[in-house]
Amino acid sequence: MLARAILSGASQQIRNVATVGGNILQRTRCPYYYDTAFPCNKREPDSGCPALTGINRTHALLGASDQCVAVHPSDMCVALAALDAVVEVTGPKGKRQIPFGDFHRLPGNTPERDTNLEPEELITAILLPLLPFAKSGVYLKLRDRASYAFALISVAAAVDLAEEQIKDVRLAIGGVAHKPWRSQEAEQFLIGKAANAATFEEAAKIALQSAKPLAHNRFKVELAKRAIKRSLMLSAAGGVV
Amino acid sequence: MSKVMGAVNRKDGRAKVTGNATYAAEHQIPGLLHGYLVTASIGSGQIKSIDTSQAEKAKGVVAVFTHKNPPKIFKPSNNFISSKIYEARLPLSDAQVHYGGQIIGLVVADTFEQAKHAAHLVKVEYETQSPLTEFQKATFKEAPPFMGEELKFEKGNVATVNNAAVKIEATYTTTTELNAPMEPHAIIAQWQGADALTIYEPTQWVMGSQRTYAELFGLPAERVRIITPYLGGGFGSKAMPWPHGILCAAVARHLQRPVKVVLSRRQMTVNAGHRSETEQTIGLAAAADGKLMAIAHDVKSSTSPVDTFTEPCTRVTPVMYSAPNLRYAQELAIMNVGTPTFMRAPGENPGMWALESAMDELAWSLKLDPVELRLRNQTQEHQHQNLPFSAKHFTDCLKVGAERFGWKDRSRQVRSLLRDGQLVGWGMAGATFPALQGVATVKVRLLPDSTVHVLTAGNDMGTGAYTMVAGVAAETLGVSVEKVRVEMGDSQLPDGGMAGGSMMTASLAPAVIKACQDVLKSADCNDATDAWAALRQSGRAAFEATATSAPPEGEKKWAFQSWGAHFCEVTVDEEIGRLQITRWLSVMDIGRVMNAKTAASQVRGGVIMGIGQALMEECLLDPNIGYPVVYDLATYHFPSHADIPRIDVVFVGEPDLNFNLAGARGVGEIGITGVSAVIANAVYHATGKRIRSLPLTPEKLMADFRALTADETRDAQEMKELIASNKSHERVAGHSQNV
Repeated sequence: MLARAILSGASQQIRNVATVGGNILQRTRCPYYYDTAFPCNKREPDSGCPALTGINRTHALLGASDQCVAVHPSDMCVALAALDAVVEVTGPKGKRQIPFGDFHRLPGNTPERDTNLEPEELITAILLPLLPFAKSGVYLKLRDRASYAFALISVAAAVDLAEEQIKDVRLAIGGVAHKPWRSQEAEQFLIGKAANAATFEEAAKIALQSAKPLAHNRFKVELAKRAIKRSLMLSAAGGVV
Repeated sequence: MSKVMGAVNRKDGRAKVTGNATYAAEHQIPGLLHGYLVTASIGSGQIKSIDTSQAEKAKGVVAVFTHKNPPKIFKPSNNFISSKIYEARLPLSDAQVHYGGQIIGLVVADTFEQAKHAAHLVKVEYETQSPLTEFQKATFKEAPPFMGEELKFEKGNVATVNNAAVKIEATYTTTTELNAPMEPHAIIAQWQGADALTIYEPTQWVMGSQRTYAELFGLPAERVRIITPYLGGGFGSKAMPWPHGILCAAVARHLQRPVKVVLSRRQMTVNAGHRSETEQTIGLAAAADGKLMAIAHDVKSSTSPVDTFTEPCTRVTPVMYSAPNLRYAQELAIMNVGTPTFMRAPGENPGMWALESAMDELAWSLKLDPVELRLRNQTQEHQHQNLPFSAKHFTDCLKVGAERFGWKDRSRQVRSLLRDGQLVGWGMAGATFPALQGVATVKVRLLPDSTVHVLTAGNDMGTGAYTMVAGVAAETLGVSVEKVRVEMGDSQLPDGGMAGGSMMTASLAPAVIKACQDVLKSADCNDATDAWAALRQSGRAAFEATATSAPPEGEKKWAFQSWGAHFCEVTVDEEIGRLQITRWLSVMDIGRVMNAKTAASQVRGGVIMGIGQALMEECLLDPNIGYPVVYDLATYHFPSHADIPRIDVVFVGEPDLNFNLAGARGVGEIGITGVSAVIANAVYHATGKRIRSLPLTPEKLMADFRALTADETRDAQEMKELIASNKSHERVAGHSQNV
């Protein structure tokens, strides 16, 4: 799952010079943030968010605020979120470990802060706990062109089956929030259920139930649900893509 | 002359891949200064105040120019014959801001970084008006003629056709597209005193640029030298000076120092042209046998407040299909957008998207093979000009294409082919582009070292003109292509016309042939080998001849046009809106094929650019601030390798000797025409879903899902509140320009 997520990111040239820490620490993507012609709360706190009323086709569905609706762009991080990775950081106060789900932040009233990394802290390791059923993991990335584009929606999913029953499951979504979005509600719902299309469809609904689409990204709610269902189906069938 | 040249490798290939080809911005000039543009961050309004004091004090800054201290520029006559600029308003001419990103200043410094930094320090206050950037809210009026050609026409009476077996009417849209050449727009201007100017700039029209810059600075043309040996693409956006080039040259004169200006990708989204959005309504009426009874084509496009450019979509209407009743008209609106311009197959490209989509819809309505529908309706004459087409082989394009693609084996139903769980669809569409030809002059010299030297100011925008000229000279003189050295793209050489409108080959090749024939005549020899021997015996420095291509003799008797047909296969995963193009075939009739290799590359390049238009290219503007939300080649999507299938290209037809001595009609633009229609037609076959708005993004392809418009998704009151509470709509000083 992780390897496939990494391979789907950026371009070959960028991957060749990229680092794991750099990937985790990349800022959220939003044209209004990157272009200094526009005001942006993330770049200049309290200057306004033109994405709210502007072109917001690629923007967040979940966990956004009136201050910021940007999304985290990484593919790798979506897989790391699903795999319960731990970020080990070293700083003036010594070493500490940050569970991956707590590493990136939601925008709230401080959209200028993307992560919980403190000043002068450095990422020194990424710890990946053993997850035997990750081998049936799936990373599905949907985007506007076949390569070198950020995800409109991406899904990292892995299903652990005992007979036809779901013993354990991991589900994280990319392209929907200010951070890689792990859907524990959907995971909880799935555990113990029969692995079939109806169950997966219901799980997808649960994962998106708090979605607040903007003017141009409504399609992403439906696309995310379909991608989740597809990914869970693929993983239950042994995992490909 | 009917022999096809075969496949010749690029003469300039080695120089390009080894980095020895010097592009405009790469010229090393001693004492060079660097300019960086200051651009407006509002979409409409006036500059209330502009404070350059901080910028002027910054390290390395030599000067800052704004509308308060504009350098001297003369208004040119601004027509194609004497001089033409893309944007009639001269840079820095007043305090008005007509569109987001408009140039409002230039900072000149010792280094690029210093100039860019100081550009940030310019403080601007604006009087802001709400910009008009939404096509649906614009006011449309009848479009003026396009380069002297009326964009309205009627024969018969479309309104009275009421006995048709099938009538269809549908509206097709395209979005704002960027030319986005690989080489950014750039210029180095170097004055020799106050009355002689040398310019290094990628221009598709060296001699046109020379005349225009001469007028802009009140000089005789020969006092301006334009040097453009290489261009990294232009697609219509590099034929004339843009405001940044004019400003750079004016500032260089004022400072009496050489100055370079390179546009950032961000600046290229508004300051170097684009293809306007279009909305086209096509009405077709046909008898039961498929014979067209009426064609109606109504087009809307937009332009900027500072120049007029109409996307001439209706140029395809009178040339593709015959109908006793045929009408077309175009409307144009002024919006707060940068000035649109020519972009690969201007008019023909969006025109064919609409017409070839509509023909497909008609074929399905009639339950008729779309190939057969086109065969039955093709016209042997240009229905507006009332002239027969010379050497038209559209039938061969359709029949050879259908044969090679296996068209007869297609399924006759939509949603009827499934492969690996995905829907499969086949589509086809026609392609067309007019054959244009300019007057070009070429000098050929036979030298005693057994080489040939060909010189012309006409240039190679990356298409293969160097190779074509060398090949034609080699063939005419009876020598190998390695013996020929070609020098192009310098205004000190003989006028070689414009690399635009797919006409460079048609303009140059006849002149090359004639000059080579003349040089052999002057040597009294049959081929170059004999001539070289005679030359060495004579002790002369060279045999040389200069010849000019004349406009086609048959101009009054014939209409000249190229033809083609595309066939493609797509797979659609409709649950998740994912499309892949899996097969492609293009069959083209372009008259004589001068170089099978570079010609096929031109068609492939056109197809790839068309796939971009069909699937992903879209320059969206923020509706409130009026500025594009794409800013580089990562945010403005165009196809990656993974989006492109193998593209097979086949040429049919014969040399069009009514057109010129070489029989060549040009190939730069036809490849892109019809591409988006063939893809949408294949999507319909695969899914049963007719998509009439480009690009075909995932939300439009998703089954059982209708992408709502912005207005539908939020109610008006909620939207108003959001806008009222949003500080981002108040523009503040200090936040006032972009880089």
